Amino acid sequence: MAVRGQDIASVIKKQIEGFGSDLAMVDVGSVIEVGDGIARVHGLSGVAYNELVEFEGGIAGIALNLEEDSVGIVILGDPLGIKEGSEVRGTGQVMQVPVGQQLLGRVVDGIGSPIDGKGPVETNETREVEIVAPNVAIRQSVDTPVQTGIKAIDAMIPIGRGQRELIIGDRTTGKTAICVDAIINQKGGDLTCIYVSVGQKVGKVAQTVGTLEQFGALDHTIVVAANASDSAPMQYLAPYTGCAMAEYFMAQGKDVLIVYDDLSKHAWAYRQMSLLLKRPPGREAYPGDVFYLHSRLLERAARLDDAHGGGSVTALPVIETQAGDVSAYVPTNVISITDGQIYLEPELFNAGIRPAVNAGLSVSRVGSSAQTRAMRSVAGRLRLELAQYRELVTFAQFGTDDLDAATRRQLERGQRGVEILKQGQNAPLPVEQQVSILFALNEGYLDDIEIDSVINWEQAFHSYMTSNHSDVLKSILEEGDISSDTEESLKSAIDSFKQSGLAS
Amino acid sequence: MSRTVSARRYAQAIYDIALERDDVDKWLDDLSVLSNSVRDETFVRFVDSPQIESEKKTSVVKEVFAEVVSELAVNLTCLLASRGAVSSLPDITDAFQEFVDSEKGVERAEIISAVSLTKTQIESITKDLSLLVGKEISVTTLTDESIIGGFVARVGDRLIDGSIKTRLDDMKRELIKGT
Repeated sequence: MAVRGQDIASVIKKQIEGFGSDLAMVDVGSVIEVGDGIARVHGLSGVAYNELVEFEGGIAGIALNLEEDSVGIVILGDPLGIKEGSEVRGTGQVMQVPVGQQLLGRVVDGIGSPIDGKGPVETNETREVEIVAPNVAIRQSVDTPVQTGIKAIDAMIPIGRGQRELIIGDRTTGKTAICVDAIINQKGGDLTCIYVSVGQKVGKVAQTVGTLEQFGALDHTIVVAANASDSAPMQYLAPYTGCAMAEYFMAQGKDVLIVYDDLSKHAWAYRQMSLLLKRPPGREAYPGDVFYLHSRLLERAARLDDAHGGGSVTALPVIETQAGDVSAYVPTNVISITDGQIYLEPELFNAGIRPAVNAGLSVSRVGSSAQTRAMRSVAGRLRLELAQYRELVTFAQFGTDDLDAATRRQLERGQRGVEILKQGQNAPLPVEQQVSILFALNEGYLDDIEIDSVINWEQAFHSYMTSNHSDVLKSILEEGDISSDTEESLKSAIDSFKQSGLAS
Repeated sequence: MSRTVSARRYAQAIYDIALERDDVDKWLDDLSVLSNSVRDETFVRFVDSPQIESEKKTSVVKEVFAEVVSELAVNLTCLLASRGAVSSLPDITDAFQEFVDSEKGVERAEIISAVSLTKTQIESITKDLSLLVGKEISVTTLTDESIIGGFVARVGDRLIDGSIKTRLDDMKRELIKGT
């Protein structure tokens, strides 16, 4: 872009003319000690809790510990320029971050500054990072689904808009994959997505952003990344920053999906800050308010009532467990705050069942009321059959020869159900296709298919249905129910598919 | 300005004694004598040293100060010497001064300017400052050429920065942000 000297001069002229000349009284203090990203400051007697302060050279900080003779401040940014005796000024403001439509498709750091090399974010609007969650009078209950495009979740652990659904599991069990698939599935839909990455490896974040870009999902997504190399205060702020951006859209009546990946590392960052601020350590060395740390964040997920625009923020917090220990401090905290959890198991993952969702331990406390009737009718039977299958399978491993026909049929059905719920990564499935395949399973159309070829059968079925019977799929989607007419045409479509020979 | 909580506690105790005996001004003189003597490093090293017995310290302190300050001030120094806290005397003095000032309704201010100010300038600044904080102000002035122009006034923990240097810094930041 060619910029003429004259243009620059006129911009500067405007800036000089508009330059504030008002004098105000500010609180000041001086640094007593600085280290580990924390500064202890003498003075600043009028500073407020969580107030933004400014060190010499424009480095920002947040006043967190207000003590009788000093203030404990976390430094946002490079602490190298801060020396003993440096002046610190209060700003009288709390932390704010840029928000707006212009952030979509961008990657920003923990305080909303772009880090993707695509230039500045052209937005003038800001929002406070820490606000009190919407109160009960302006909320309404969950009634619209978030389609993740993952069969195992949409059928059995449905998520509604405004819900908080925890994704929990050991490392490398596919937690991030589920979140990324859910974001990819919103392509072309009405959900805005925010992916908050806390304490992850830079390479992994770059990979995730690459995946989103590859599947065209970055256009409706904001990525807030406070990486492992960023300071603990940045990692601490990132989820609140992402939430403030989400609330901007919610206030406009839009629906937002926000992923916090992950809150274990967020708790670690907060633990580091708290210990350095000399707050007393509690269980697992976390400070006393680690519960409030997450509860105030997740409470901000809400579904507003129509008088307030009807917008929503759906939160998918992620927790990484150590060796499957869900009873550790932070996992139990977050489990109790959220409206259900999706539990991923390494054993299932290694057995090739991916997504490795443990259907027995996973629950969704409010999402089922948001499911469409079509999905509810097929999912109810599936859940029951899988539960019976899980009970039978333990003792059936000694051999199925002596079992009666009904039990054997249940086992066979369950095995096919497990196969059907397997799904590739980055391949979300539209809800009408999910309903059609689960319908086929429930009605026994897969009972005569070899287990090994169930996945191929499913693929062929989907391509057959979309090319030859798109009207049936369309009516499932539009009616949100399987009416008797639709049921008949679905059955005849499946019959004709099986006869066509495409199935094998 | 007092740096530590303990200095403030000592100052509070001294101030209570001074009020009881109605000799605040005498205490102010005594404390300034004492904090001046603390500037002598060898003295501080002697009285704050853990290797020297406290009897020896108190006898030395008594001998040195008995003539120049009141008996209670000597006792204070002995007490601080036995606790190895003589070096905080300047802080105690500052804190004491704060108590005296707040009792009188006077707040101390520091005015920093690039060139030395005339008497009328100082008076008008003082008048405006006392209006702003709602208290009487006693000012000390300093000159610091690095602020280029204007002045900086500091009242307690509060600061009014009207220096050209800060304005230029702000403008620099604004211009960088605007690009």
